[in-house]
Amino acid sequence: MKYLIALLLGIVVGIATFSAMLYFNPFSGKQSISPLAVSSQQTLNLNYTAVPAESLLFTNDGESISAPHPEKTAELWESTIRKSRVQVVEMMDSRGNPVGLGIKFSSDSEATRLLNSEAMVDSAWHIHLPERGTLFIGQTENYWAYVRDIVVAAGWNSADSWRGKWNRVMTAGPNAIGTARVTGGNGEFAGIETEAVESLHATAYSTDTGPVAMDGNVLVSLPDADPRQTAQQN
Amino acid sequence: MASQLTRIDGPRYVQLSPLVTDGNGQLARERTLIKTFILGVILGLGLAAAALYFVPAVDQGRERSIISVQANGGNREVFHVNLPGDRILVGRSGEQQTFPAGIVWPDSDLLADTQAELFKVRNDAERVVGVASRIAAGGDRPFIEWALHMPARGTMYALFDSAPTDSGVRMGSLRTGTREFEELRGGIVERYVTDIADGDESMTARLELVTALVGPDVPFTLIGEDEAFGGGEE
Repeated sequence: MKYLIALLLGIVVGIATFSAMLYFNPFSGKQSISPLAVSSQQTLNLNYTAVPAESLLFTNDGESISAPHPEKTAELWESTIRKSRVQVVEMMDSRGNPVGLGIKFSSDSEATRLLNSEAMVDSAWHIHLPERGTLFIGQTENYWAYVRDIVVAAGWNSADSWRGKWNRVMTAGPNAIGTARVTGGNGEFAGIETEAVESLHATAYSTDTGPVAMDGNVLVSLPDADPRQTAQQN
Repeated sequence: MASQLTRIDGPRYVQLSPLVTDGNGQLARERTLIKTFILGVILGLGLAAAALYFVPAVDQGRERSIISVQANGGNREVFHVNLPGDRILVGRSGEQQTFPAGIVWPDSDLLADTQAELFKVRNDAERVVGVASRIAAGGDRPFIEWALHMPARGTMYALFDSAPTDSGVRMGSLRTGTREFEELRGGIVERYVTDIADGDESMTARLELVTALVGPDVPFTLIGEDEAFGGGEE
């Protein structure tokens, strides 16, 4: 009997050790500098609130930490969409002036590999900037660092909350250098194919309501040439 | 008591474990117990690693894709939105017809000519398979766009003519997509149907999207109105 207890105890210690190794892995989720930071091309800087309650609309399965907003918003409870979230936000320029509307679809990705510190999310932005045009951004994001540094840390805190300064590039692909694919739709963006990077800046999180103070940023690299000419060349 | 004390160095004495002097095999049993514990630790490490490697962390719910073959070689698939039941959002500036209740839509000139909508999207078997955004802009550069996000498959981004045909149908094309739709091209047709006769009072209209998509190297013609709503070969 005592051998069985020793074996079970060993297994528990082994699993705990493995979890600790995974959690404290110093080689995971360290990217905090945008791959586009060194780009010489013109960029489009769009900011938005990543707090669900401050969005125009946010919805999910209705059972997650962040509740749908407004309260009477339809929930995504069906089995095919219950691991998805939709957020509608006003997009701001770098000075904080509203420049348009952004709709973000996010779904937990089957490419998630916790063993590799990859908590992947497939997401897509449908962005309309009335004075300029429309953009579609398709990307995969890695939320491992967010879960580890903020969500788990808040759970461990006796006040069930987290406060601090946290900056991370969330975009992890699909492009080889870890950037998102951007496709222009209408207006001055018609015909363009370029790349973008999304990052999050968090300062407060609660295990009861989710993000309390968190902003997002979408940095789009704009081609220098006339996009219509580029499209014709392609 | 004296037999349990042994001189090590100088006048200091230490008490040895009784195991050393036991001589009845207990030491061997203790060692086996420790070995069992270590085996458990290794087993725990292995089990945790194997579980993370082999058990998918995310398993998206799926519905069977109902696709028929188009005469021009494209794969025809029909999606629809039941109105008003599948509506998640209607956002319009300066209008009282925003939805859901409680939403605070920006009442600015910037979005004056913009209407943003969110829907749950169903397949031909009435199953919800995704969520979609529809942005319609007026003014001097009118357009209509859809982003159709299906968590298990990918996202489609389609551009439509703002003006409908004589029969009220809007013709469009797939601009780009992610994952399953990344390499595909083709046409999409939008139709608003009010003549619903299935006795369901909660459903007063239906918004249909018919896609006809082909692979990257396959020549295609945009789907016509007759092909879109005439059916294909199952």
